[in-house]
Amino acid sequence: MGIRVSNLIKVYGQTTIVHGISFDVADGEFVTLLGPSGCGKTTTLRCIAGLERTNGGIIEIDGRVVSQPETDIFIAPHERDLGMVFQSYAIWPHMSVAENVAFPLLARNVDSATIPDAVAWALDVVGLSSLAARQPSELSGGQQQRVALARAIVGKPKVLLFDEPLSNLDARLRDRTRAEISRIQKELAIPAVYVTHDQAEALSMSDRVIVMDAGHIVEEGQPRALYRRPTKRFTADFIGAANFLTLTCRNQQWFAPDGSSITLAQPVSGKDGEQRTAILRAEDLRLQARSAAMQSDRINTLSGVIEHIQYMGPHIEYSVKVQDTTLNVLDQIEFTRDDPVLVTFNPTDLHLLPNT
Amino acid sequence: MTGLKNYAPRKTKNMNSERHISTPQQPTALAPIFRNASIFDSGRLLGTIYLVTFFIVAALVAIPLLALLYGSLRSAAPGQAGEWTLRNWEGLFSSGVLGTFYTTILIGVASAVIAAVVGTAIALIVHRTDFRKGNAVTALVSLSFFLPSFILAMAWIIIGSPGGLINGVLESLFGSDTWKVDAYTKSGMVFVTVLHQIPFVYLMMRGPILGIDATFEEAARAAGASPFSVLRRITLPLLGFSITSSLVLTFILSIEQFAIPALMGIPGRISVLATQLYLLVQFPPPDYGLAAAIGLTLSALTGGAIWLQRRIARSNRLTVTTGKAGRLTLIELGKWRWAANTLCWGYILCALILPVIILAYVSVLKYFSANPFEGAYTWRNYLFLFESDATLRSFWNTLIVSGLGALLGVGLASFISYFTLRHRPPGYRTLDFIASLPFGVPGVVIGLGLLWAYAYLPLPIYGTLSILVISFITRFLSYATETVGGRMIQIDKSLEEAAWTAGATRLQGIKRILVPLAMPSLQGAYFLLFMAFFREIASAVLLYTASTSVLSTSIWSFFEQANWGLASSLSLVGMVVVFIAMYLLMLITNHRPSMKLLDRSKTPAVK
Amino acid sequence: MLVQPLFHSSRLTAKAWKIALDKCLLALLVACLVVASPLAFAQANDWPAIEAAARKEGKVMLYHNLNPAGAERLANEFRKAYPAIKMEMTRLGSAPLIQRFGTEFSSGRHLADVMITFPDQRIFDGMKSGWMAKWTPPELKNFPPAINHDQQNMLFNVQTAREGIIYNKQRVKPADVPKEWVDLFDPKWKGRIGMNPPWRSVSIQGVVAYWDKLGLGDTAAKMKDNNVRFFEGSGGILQAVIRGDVHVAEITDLPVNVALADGAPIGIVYPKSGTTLSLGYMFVAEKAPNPNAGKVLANWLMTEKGQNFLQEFAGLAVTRKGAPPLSHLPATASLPNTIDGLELLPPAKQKQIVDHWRTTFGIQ
Repeated sequence: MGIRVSNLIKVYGQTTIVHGISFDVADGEFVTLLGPSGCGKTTTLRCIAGLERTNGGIIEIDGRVVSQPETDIFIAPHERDLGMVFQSYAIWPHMSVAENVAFPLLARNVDSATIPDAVAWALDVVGLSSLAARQPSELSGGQQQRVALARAIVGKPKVLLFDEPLSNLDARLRDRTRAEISRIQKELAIPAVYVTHDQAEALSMSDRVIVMDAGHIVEEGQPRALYRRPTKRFTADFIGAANFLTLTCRNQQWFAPDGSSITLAQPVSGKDGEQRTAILRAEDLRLQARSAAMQSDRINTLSGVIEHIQYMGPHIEYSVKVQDTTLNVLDQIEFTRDDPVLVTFNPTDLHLLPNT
Repeated sequence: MTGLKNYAPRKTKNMNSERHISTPQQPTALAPIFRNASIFDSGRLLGTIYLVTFFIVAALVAIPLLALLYGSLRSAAPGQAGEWTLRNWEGLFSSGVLGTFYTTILIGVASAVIAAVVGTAIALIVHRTDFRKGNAVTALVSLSFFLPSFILAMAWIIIGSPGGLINGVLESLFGSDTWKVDAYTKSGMVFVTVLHQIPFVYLMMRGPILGIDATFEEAARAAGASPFSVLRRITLPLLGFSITSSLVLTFILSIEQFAIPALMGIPGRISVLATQLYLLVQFPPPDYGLAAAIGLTLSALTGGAIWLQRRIARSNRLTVTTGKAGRLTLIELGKWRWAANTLCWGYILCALILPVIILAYVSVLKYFSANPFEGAYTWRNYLFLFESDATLRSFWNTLIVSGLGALLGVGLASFISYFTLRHRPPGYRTLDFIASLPFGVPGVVIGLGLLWAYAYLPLPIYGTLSILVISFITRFLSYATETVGGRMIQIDKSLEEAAWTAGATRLQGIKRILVPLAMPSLQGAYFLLFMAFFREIASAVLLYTASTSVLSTSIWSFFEQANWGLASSLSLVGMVVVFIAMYLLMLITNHRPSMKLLDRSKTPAVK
Repeated sequence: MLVQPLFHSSRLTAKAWKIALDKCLLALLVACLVVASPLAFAQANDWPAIEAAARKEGKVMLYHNLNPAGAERLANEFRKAYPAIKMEMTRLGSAPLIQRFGTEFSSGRHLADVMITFPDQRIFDGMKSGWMAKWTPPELKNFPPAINHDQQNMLFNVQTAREGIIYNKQRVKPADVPKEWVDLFDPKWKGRIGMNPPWRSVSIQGVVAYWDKLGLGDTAAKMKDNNVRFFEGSGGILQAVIRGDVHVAEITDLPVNVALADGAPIGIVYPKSGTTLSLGYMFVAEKAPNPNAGKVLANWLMTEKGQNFLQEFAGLAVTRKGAPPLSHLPATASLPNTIDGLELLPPAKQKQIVDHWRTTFGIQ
């Protein structure tokens, strides 16, 4: 049940957009496709919806094959029993809110006696019951978005698909709506695929996140795991602000570029001269003022100079130059430019990327 | 991509039986809004409609053109035995024909340039300055769009011919017997053609002018440019593409003018291609072959210009228009107000008010007299209309041809727009190209081509209204596809996709979503076609017979027999009848056309 | 209202089918009549039977080159005489009229029943290629025998137009009024003279041929030097002269009588050196869709009443014995030196004139 995508390939002209990716969405699960523009996430979503035809691979929804070019199987979108929310909401301007929401039921030939109740229910779930008779032009962006959501769920579809639905909302509305979408999906327990480039949405809403880049799946996993222990540099870089440090191994000890020794949470063996990339989150780094008299060989301590300061409100974002690297640090202590500082961190906060 | 067979129809399960989520008790006040839709197999039907549309358009365009090609290589008239020959093509290079080419292009270019300049100026004045009564000017300019060209020609002959009003006034002022103004000259023809084309330019430029992103101009103002400077350095260059595009289109329309050169050029012995073609066909010895060759060459000329215009228009689409109207700063006219008023109201006077007054005057005279006090007045021109069977029949024919023909035309155009802009099945580019071809073929040439074609084809439509309908639809199809298509482009694709993902078939999506949203443009296209059919003469003049005469050909034949009294009375009555019909139609369909007919950027957001 | 028909394709095609069906039925009807007409022809000499058959046919199509307003009134009178027969007309100048008939005839589409026109060689050729029905109108005995062209009983001369010089009374001083053809080439009319071009009409070709006969030289070049203006048909000339666009013009006097009756400020001169006549001929088409109605109409136009109407409404001098003269113009018989224009126009000459004028004026 749920969705199963196997070896999906999509080609436009001469370019391959999706290079044979595979993933599952379990029943009731909320999966996000996360990645930069052009990574193929929207294309993948549209293939699942049937708005694009694939060039290879199998897509199954609720156990039924809906697309398999090799055997000429293609089920049109209107027969896949979907609920889809578009980036532009796509609320039809010539119909009222109620008519918009009722449309999926009309199109699927549902018994007309049950329609008013279903519409009322959907509007109630999204909190728009009082606006049923309004025209879309009278609604705000947030309200239109909720109409789109109501329309997507009214028919109790097999799958919910979201194509960057929050990108047109302002920040506050985004936060609120995020929570609502998550809540509704959990209540209805419909498997959902959500496409976004915003990692905050991905982390907060998903059961699982699939990170994509250039038509490939880079990594997938639960938000926590992806954040704390990514296995790919790309993932680390895309999710959250990460600093990368190249560590060198000598005698089973790991050293930072400036020569200071690094203690890991758990010992990791390596050959002499072997190099590994370490990830340090900016919020995990601490700053201290550095005086000339301080010992320079404390563990997990790097010397640097403040290069750039940005006051963000809840914290200050610093760019600290450490040897050849620049580290991003979020801290609350006040420094000024060119201050000498020490950067420290807990061993548990350092994560080594696997060898590629 | 993979054809029609994948749209395998499958039954959808009824969902309500599967899940049990409690629904709150809501009053069913929402019930009356809903109607049930039926699902049917959209794939096969849509595919068939596509094929049929393709075939019809290809036939409409190919038949006259191929017939002409055939005719240009034959030595005899259509329907008669003859042989293959290249003589007709050789005839193109005779001095007479070459001279005519030259004259045609000269007049065409001059008319196009002047009309483009003046039309753009008027549009800028009305929409970008603090000109008062801009709405009135727009309405009146739109009205003059519908005035047939032969009425303009007649009016200005009366005003400007050697025996005309201007010379009469000059004579009485200065006493001498030498006339000073002559309408039967190239300049006269250019003047009237310009009057006729300005509404077209105006309506075309209106959209881009209103659609310029205000921030472009605001940035210039912030950088210190005066309003006029902004106009000169920012606005006009931004409009450059649009101006060029409308210039090319106006050129095409100018060189295929028929009525103006026929009424004004022939007495002055000025020959353009359209009238030469007409002469070759109507008067002995007829030279259909040469006419066909000329017709094809003329079409190549206009076809080339069309291709050019499309290239320009396509590269322009992305740059300027954003649809965010309403924040443009108006230029103050100040001391130039008198000039602006003169230009705008002067145009209305020359192109609309004077001709209609003259029309009314001539229609009540027995014979023309420049001095109204000496005129021999009569009502017999009007009485004749109501007693004449033939005239009453031509009213009826006009309603059929225009009313029904416009309907068919809009239908066909809608299909074409849908397939070339949204659905895009294989071959849609060819369809797009073919559908745009006839615009570049002059009306007289289409008429000639159809005459040739149906002399041979076994279809019994010669001498029927059907051939007129075919001729008009062929000629004006691109007007409708541009109007409908321009709107269709702006309807966001996601609106249709949302319908599909909500369970609607393609066809249902069209019916429920696309059509209602495109409806204003469908109605606009209908009105446009109706009026275009009503005033069209060139493509009908070779095809009509007594029983299939429509208003424009009846009026034309009165002109041809120089019975201007009857021509005027019929014109006036005809226009009144048509406007009443249009008004009634507007009331029924609750639609206001004319302002936004050619305007593509001004649409409400559909997101 | 507009939405539904657009996308219910079945309704659209129903309409198109209806039109096609109507045309098919019409074609079928025509076919039946064509088959039936020889039967009617067999009783050609039985006039009441012909009239009865004509009433059954119910309509008649006239191709003509008469002045249109007058033709409509003629039609009204015909309807009073034969209420059961509906008359339809197509009016064109003589040259395009003959052309249209010829084109229709050769492509097998027969629409005309009766034709009235000034003839040219194509008409006479048509006599031999089966354009015209051979029959004897009951009224024929009331006409001079000469009107029956070649005594073939096909082509009948029912009216005559004359060429003349027309001038604007308000603009031309009495002393300057042209009296002879040669006055047309006087430089004082430069830019103020008009005529119909010869390629438009056989009548003009006739008068040009006459000018040649009078030895007036290269009249085309002379007209060009005089900046002649060309107008559409005799109606166009009349208009232009009345308006004062030109002061003097050569004209076929078709519309002149009516204009004079209206009080238009024009005068007309028929030169003493002579002028050409254009004999207006009438025939019934051999392949007419309504042959009996055609004969009835043709005969009616030859009756005393018909001829009077023809003269009064169409302004043309008629040929019936004892017909009164035109109200404002002299009778043909009283004009000096008249000659049938066609006699001067063998086909070679016709072509030569048209070609020469066309080349001179660059319309080739």
